Amino acid sequence: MRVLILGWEFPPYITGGLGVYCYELTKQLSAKGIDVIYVLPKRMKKVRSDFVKVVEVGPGFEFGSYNEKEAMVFKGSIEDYNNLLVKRCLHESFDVIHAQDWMVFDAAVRLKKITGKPLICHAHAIEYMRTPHDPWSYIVEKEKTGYYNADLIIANSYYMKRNLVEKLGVDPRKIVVIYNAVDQERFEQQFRREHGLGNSKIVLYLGRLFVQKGPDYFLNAAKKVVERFRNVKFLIAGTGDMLPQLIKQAIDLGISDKVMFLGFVPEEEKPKYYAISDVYVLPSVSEPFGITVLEAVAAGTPVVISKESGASEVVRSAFKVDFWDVNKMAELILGLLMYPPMAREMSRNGKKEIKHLTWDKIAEETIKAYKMAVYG
Amino acid sequence: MMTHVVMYFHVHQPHRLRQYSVFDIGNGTEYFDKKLNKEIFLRAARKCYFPSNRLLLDLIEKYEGKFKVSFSITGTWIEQAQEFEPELIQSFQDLVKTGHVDLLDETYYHSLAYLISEEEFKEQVKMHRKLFKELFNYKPKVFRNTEAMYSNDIARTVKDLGYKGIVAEGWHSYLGWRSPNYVYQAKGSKIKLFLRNYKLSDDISFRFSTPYWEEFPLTADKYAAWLAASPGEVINLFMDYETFGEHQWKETGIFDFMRHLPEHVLAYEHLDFVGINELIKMKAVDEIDVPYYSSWADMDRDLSAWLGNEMQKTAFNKLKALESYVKRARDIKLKEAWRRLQTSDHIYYMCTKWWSDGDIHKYFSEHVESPYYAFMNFMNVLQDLEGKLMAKIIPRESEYGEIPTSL
Repeated sequence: MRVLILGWEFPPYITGGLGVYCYELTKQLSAKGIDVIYVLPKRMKKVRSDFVKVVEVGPGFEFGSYNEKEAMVFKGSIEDYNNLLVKRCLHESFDVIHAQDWMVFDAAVRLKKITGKPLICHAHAIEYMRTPHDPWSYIVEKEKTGYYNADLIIANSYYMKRNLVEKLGVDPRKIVVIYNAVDQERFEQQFRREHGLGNSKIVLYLGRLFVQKGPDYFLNAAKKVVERFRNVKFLIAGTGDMLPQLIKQAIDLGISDKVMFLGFVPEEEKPKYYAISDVYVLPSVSEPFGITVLEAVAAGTPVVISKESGASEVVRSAFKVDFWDVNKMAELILGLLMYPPMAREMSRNGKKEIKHLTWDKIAEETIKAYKMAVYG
Repeated sequence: MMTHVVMYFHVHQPHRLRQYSVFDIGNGTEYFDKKLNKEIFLRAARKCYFPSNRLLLDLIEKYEGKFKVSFSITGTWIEQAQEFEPELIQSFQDLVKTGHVDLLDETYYHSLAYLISEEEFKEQVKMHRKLFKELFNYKPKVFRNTEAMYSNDIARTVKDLGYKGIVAEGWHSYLGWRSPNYVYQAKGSKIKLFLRNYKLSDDISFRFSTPYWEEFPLTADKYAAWLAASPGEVINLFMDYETFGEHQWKETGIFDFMRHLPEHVLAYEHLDFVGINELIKMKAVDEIDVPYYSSWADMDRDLSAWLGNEMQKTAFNKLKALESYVKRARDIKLKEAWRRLQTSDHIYYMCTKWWSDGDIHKYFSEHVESPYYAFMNFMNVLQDLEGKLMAKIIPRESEYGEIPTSL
């Protein structure tokens, strides 16, 4: 099978997630024996790949950004590129066309009509989601052209699928959802760059900012850690009524430069935050279970957790501390920061320990409990 | 044809560390927990050392030389006995004076010094030798390395130090089809090798009070019958002395078992008790080749109980790296602290092999909350020690225009 992928960027030319996606996908496809022809606009930097046939089209494009002022130039470049793209691709033979987002949909649809090969349009983002209040009709039209003419649509989430259906009126029966993989390393690099973290160690609090979760103890411990270990940042992910108070506390403790408030983190983003952290701290005053502890351990992050949590019964390879014992909490965080071999050992053993805690097992246990209740 | 029974007990207590937080580094805090060590030592003295010594002395007197035992006693044990319970020293001296007790040498600090350097190993052996000379006026001929750690090279080094025999585990990986119940010779050096019969030894030290063991309860006459039925020339029963009263509580009947064991063993005409030195005279039936390190620990009988995980390797390498600093600092107190830290127990506490299911390691390290705490504690102490050593080295060496190479 030979796939014609109409893309936009490829390493070393990358401006966003699309380039990353195309690089990782084509690499895996060719490893699995799929022939890939990857087509993209020719730019200043030469693209190289040893695993996929890369076709660069055009004289060397500079698309610029699509703000109103440059709209005409931008539109012109897009049109030029699509025309050249069709011409060039007619020299290639392929079984299916896979078009990555609206910029190439015009050419993709024309290629489909000329060759009769099936077209897959891939929805990475749509204009209504980028600028919900003021979508640019030019882009919306390109999107509609692509998605209406596509034989199959790949959406990168169910959320995306819903948007395609609701905002663009796409037939839901031809949409399949394929999630993007998380490239942890890339996420971490980007996160560190965006937040100016350099090579700082990261200590994470993740949870609502309520009294019973003990975020204030976390900050007090942070203060003690910073006295001994400077190259560290404390991330507070979550919102709640204590936020203003905690910001003030960080300032009063003189550690506001060491603490970052990330705000609410959606469920699906949580694993990334565990994984970039060197230590996860759960300082709860009272915590019936503390599923975040298991999530952190599963992500391979060593944990310092309150003895007042159900999870502390489950994980042995963890540091356990009384929530009020800020000195001890700081000492344990410090240990994990100072001694990477210990952090790694705890990470390895922790993962092993919670292997048996699968939802499958939990369901089995629950069924046993039902049976006990019903049959005695 | 006689089969000789050797009962050899190992006597040891480490200097346990106090909880040494990262905030203690550089604050002049004491490393070792004297209060805890005293408490544990006195408990062991009450439960094990006094009653066991009393029992053995009684048996030796009762059987007029037909009952003999052998001991190794670490330097760290003797230091603590001298400080916390000097009567125990007297009690061991009384045992040695009977003439029916053999003593073995080892590293003074019950250490993995052989893995640090040959020089450090030899120094610690000589320290132990000197200690025994002073306390017991006794010069051992047989050597036991820490946790019966053994290899061809260790045997050669020990032979060079003048010993005639050395102790090792009777493990199948190098014995093959051969029985541990004979005297062997080390490969590559003329030193006799005495192999522990681990099955019969562990029947006492580990399984004695295990209710789900099919042989439970173990009685002296049953055990003597097993010895009598064992083919070979020698049966080496080597175990921790703390088996009596500490690992196996008095309530398990361990003392009654021991009290009656000699009469049941001696009832067999082909069985007798000998001290370990007797084995030197026996003929080696074969040569044993152990090109790698073995020990008597765990199921694996290797070094993985001490150097099995990353924390242990890190801690040990750090300890080892301090050797050159210790030499250059020339400070007796700091050198002693460094050597006490070499005691294998500290690194054993960091073992995670069976940590997840709770295990035999647990009861040897009850004062340490977890292997992770043990590691962190130990590393904090090493950091402090390193700082102190540096503080000694820098002013002195810069006086002579030398720059410390490690900086």
